[in-house]
Amino acid sequence: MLRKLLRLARDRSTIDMGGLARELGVSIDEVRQMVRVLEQLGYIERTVLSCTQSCECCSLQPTCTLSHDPRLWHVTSKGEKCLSPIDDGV
Amino acid sequence: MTPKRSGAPTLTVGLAGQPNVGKSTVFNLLTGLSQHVGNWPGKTVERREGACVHDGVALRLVDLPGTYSLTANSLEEKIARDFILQERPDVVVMIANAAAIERNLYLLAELLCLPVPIVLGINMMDVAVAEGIEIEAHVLSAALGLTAVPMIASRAEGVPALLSETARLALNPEGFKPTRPEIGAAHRDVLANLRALLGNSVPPPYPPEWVALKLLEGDKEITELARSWMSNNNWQPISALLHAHEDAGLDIASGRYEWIGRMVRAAVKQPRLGQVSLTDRLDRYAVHPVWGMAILLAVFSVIFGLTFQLATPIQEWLDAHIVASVRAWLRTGLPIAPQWFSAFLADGVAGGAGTVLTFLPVLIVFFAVLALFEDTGYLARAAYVMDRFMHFIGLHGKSFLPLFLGFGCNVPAVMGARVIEAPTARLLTILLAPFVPCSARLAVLAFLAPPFFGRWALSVAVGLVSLNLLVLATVGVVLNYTLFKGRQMPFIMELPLYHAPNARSVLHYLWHNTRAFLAKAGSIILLMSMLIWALGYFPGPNLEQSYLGRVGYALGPVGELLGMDWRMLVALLSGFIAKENAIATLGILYGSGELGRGLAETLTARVSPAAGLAFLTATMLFIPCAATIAVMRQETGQWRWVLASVSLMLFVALFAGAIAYQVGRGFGLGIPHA
Repeated sequence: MLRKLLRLARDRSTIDMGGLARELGVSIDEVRQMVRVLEQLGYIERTVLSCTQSCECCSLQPTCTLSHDPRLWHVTSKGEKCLSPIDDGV
Repeated sequence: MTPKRSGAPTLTVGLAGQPNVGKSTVFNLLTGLSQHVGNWPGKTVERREGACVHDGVALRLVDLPGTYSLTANSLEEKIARDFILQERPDVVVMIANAAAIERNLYLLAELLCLPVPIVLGINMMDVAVAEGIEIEAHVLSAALGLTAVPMIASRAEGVPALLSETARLALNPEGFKPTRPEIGAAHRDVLANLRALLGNSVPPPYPPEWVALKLLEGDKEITELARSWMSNNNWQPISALLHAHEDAGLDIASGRYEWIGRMVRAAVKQPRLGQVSLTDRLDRYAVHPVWGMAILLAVFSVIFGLTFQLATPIQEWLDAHIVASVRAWLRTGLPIAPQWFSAFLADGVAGGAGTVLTFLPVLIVFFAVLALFEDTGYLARAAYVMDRFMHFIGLHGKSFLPLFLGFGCNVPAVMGARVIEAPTARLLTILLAPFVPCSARLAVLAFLAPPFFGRWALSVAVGLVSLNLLVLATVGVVLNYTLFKGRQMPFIMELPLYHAPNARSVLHYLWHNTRAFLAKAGSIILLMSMLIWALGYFPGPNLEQSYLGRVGYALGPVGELLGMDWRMLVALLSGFIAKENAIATLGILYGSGELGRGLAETLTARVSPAAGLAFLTATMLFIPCAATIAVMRQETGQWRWVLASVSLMLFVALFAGAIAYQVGRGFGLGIPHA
């Protein structure tokens, strides 16, 4: 299951947790748990979008949507290494 | 409760569980007033302890912090794990949420690797039943090889049974033989090798088998500890083994999920297909590759549609009645002032910045509708759809985040490109960011589309936004496959649930944006208006022979290609300082107000729709504003990329504008309405 999730995260274009839940036949809650486990094991990593200054003193704060960004993870090199070559069907 | 049997020892019970499973309720029910609160030693995390007596057996209950797992990635997880390892409670009671039993069993799978007897309390059975989930506790008990007690802690149901089973197990722990998860076959031998390599180096209270498992999982804390327990010579083969099996963690976790799957199949019935939430149902369309893009365009249509329907009439009224009257009065109502000063106030201040202020209703409606969409959670879906689009055109996955920010303002979009590590991909994103239609350009579009296109304004506005995205895609594809070969990076994305918008946050968003616009109108736009007026007034005697007129006439050949006279061309150029200046400049140069008409009415009468289309097309694709250019220079560290971007956008804007004009003429739109 985890390998399949990792493979989906690597091979598809960006996929949301609902899509993963449908693909894996589990609930979104379980996908969230699996993502947490994969993150803890270092196979995926949280992507954080940030700039160098704090929002309080930023003149662009009114038009900035950074604070509303969706939460994102990407597969790490450790994760990619785990998926090859057996998981690629080689 | 019964009194404590004399001479009987006090048994320690750890209460574990994931957050929000009703653990505290159980703790309060069991301990009542007999509890005290402090902090875990050296930590700021609260430690709650209490006592109770059951059948003469005294129990000391320790409420462990709620944790999803025991990997020591957080302070709470480390506290829970250290407590079990170092204080060795007689029993751990794990409280699980029956309605999310699979997720909760993951923690149990980890607890079972520790040397402690466990009782499972399956709480919230009523919630599970309400959701159509049936858990056969006795079957789960048999499958797990440990006692599972069904409970509804909020009604104190099952709590006595839980207490009774806890006391029984604490007194007779020898009978505890649970079914533990197994590591995948591919790494079983590796685990055995690792255990052998550890030998007798593992000091108490750490169980060597558990240490071997944690090493294979890549647990940082245990790895550091193990490294400190061993000599370099003994550590080398372990390090090599771990390095060669980095995927073992995946097999260990997969083993736990297989174990969970077996348990759930044996004891849980859940109506999977029936459980489709509203968010799921909406997202089937909102994030669909085709429907999602169509819905995104429909959302833009709604934003523009509502803006045109609600704000444009107010804006036109303000323009025709307030600004035009003020301008007319300023020209004649100040008899003692010199003529140039009256003209300055009437045309430079009221005609420029004043016209831009009539923009306010347009912006208020525009930002209010945008804020409503954002607050419902839709904009996160828009980001998701955009990301698919980015992948489709072959861009680096991380590009979409900064580019999405560009809809607000291109400056944070350029700055947001810092999130991309690869220099070429970052540069490509910076070069593409100004093609995203920022809110200032969208507002100019919202202002000018109705006077040029009347009832077709909405279609034209949505078409021009789509054109921007199309040009962005085309330029992206060309650059990506020629100069910058980027590596795609897909994401797992957690989308927020849809919810009703909150009036307070919508108003907050609206206030911030409106205030920012007013500040801009009172500073840079006002200054630019005065400058444009001065260049258009001096040296006289008329606009055509002014400094601005001479520059404008020099640009005539370019204007002819786009069907625009020199005034429109100058307005386009003035957008370089701030995009809204284009409107201020049109207000000054078209001399609206002279005939008691507002700018919108004047433009309708004097500019053909084909020229208007060319003007809006060029504005949407035109070179970025000065602030964006400054940030581009700062982020790329050199002028050549900035100049390349400006040249590219200038070419694209003029080329697309010329095409738009010719197409407009082809459709018979080359003559003004009146």
